[in-house]
Amino acid sequence: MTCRRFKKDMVVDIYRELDEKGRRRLERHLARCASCREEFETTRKVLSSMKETPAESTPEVNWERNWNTIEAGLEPAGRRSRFLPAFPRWAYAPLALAVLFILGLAVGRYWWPWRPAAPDAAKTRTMSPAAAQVMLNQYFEDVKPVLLDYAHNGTKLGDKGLFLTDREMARSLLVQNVLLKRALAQKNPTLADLLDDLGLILTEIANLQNQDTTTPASLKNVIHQRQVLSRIRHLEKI
Amino acid sequence: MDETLLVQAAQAGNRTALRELFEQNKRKIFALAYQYARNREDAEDILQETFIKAFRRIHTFRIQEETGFASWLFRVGINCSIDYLRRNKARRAELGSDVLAALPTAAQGSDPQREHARREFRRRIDRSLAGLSPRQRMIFLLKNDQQFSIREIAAQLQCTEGSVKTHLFRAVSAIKRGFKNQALEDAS
Repeated sequence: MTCRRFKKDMVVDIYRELDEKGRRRLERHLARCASCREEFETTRKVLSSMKETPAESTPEVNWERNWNTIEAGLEPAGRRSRFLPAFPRWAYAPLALAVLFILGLAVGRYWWPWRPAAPDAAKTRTMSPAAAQVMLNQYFEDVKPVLLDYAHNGTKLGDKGLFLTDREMARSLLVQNVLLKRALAQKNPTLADLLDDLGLILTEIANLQNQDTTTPASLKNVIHQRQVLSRIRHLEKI
Repeated sequence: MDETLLVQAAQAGNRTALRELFEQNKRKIFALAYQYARNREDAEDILQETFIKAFRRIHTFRIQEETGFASWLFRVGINCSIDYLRRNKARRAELGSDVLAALPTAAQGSDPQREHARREFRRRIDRSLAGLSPRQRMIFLLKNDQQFSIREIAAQLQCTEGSVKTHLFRAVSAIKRGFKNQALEDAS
């Protein structure tokens, strides 16, 4: 064991806190190490001299004045403790954030005047059945000429690259198709089926290219095979 | 009145209980602070800071878990004293002037020469103490002046006994070194 380790033990031993085993070890070392023996004596003398020179007695203190200062220092904490539960200091920041978040939610939910614009679908849900029927009749009136053109002249027109119906018209009808499906299709499966077919046909028309000749021909076949026009007439009678 | 009951009352916000706890512990805390600061004004500042901090946090004191209120308060006092020393590093070099003033004058002593030697020795002690780190100084004072055991100091400072022994050894070494240097200065 090195002398340095014993130097630490010397201090502990002078304060009479070294255990028996350590003390015997230190004594053995001091018996054979003159340098440590000398240091042990010096340390002991310095510390005992310090003990012999008593610390000066504490001066007189005005306790009342000190208490008044302490009491004044407690005032803000005292007031706080009456109103707030005693959380640890670190908890106040997250608590404040949580309270602000909840307040924000409440304000947004109940008092904030702005609402996001309701989608058109929402409007159609509230559409009256009579209004929806009027819209449906108008839709049929608009879609029939388009279908008739494709049912009779689709291939020929395609060859010329001229379509009687422009794409914008098809897109406008598609929007109406979606709205009507949401308003009426749930109660009327026949209408739902027809609107589905019309939706497919109108989508093809809306995406037609000028030089495309095959799509108008296939649309003509679809209109005939699915008897789209006769189903429209049938529903119009009802 | 029983300390536990006093603490419970103080935790409930009873000012009389706080005053009573102050009365019971003021001298011990002031003595600690004075040993550290070496002048009355600073010691009073430490005393006030200790009680204000302790009373503000008294709701965190767990009667069942802690060793006792006085011990807990003493720990707050130790921390306040160490903080004080850290804040007032610049003033450490000046320590000792109040000590001399506080010591009895030659006229009060029976032997003026002996009294002078004693003052000189105390001056050296204070110079040496002023050179220690706040923690070393606190450990040395608790051991040497307050006569706490190493285990008690470790409990107060919430560190290991080995750490206390190391700090104590370093403190004693620094004090010895300080004495040696002063002796050399005096000789030259």
